[in-house]
Amino acid sequence: MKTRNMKLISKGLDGELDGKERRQLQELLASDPAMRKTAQDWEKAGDELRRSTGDVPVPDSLLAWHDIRRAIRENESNTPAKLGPASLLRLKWAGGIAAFLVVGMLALSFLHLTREGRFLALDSLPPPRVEWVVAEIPGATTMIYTDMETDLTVIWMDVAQNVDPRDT
Amino acid sequence: MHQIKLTILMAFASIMMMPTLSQAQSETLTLQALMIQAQNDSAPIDRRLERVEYKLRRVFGFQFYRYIGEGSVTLTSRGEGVINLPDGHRLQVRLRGRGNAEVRWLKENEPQLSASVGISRNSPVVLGGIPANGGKLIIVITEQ
Repeated sequence: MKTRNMKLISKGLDGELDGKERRQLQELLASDPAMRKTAQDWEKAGDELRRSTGDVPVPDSLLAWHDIRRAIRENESNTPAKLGPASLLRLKWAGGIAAFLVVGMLALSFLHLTREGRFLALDSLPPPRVEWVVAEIPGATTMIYTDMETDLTVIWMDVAQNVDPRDT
Repeated sequence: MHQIKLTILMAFASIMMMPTLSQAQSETLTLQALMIQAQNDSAPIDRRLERVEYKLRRVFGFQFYRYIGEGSVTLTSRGEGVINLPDGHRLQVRLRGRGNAEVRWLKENEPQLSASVGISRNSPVVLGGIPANGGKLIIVITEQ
């Protein structure tokens, strides 16, 4: 069967033939048994298809839209409800307490870092330094020594114990 | 929401004030002076020296340390004071800001030794060397 004839059958089944083509198809169907059988088979297949799809209900777009909106509403109802004034007040108190706890922890940390208002870091500084020393006893000399292990800074005055012979 | 903001503001203000409070607390300083005689003659163990004697023993060559007396003074950051000690000894102290002091050791109004020293809680300053009773007098200055 020629492709052109098959196309003619297909267009005929779809109702797309003009007058000339329709007459041509009728002549062919009347003269060619194979073509007639093909046309009958395709028509039958089409009927089968229409029958099978006819059992499936076509969804109503309006109903589908209602279903979608209902689903949205149900989702919204599952989310936490808006806070009332009482809940809001409780939340404020909770926030205030939480803020004080944070401040308390910060204060404790600060006090831990300090000892009677003094930073521990200062205590870990090297031992105190001596700016100047004056031995006010005539003839005395001074010596400055810092012991790292004991953290002692020693200012030692060596007093010359010269004995005046006249005193003896 | 207004209450939360107010709370946070108060908390922040408290934090800001804490250093000021600490500073106020630290404006006064108490110094203690412990007078000791270091000697090689035997001396009984004195519990009043137990916090410093082991340190002195490490630094000095003396065998024994005898408690003579002690005194203290509380000063403001730029204050002056006197610590009276036994046998006519005195320690004039003038603070020059936090942890820094000028000290003058006098005996019967006779100046013996003057120094400008930094003083901290864990780092005593030891003045010493004045002969007395066969030993040497030592003054240990500690911040309380």
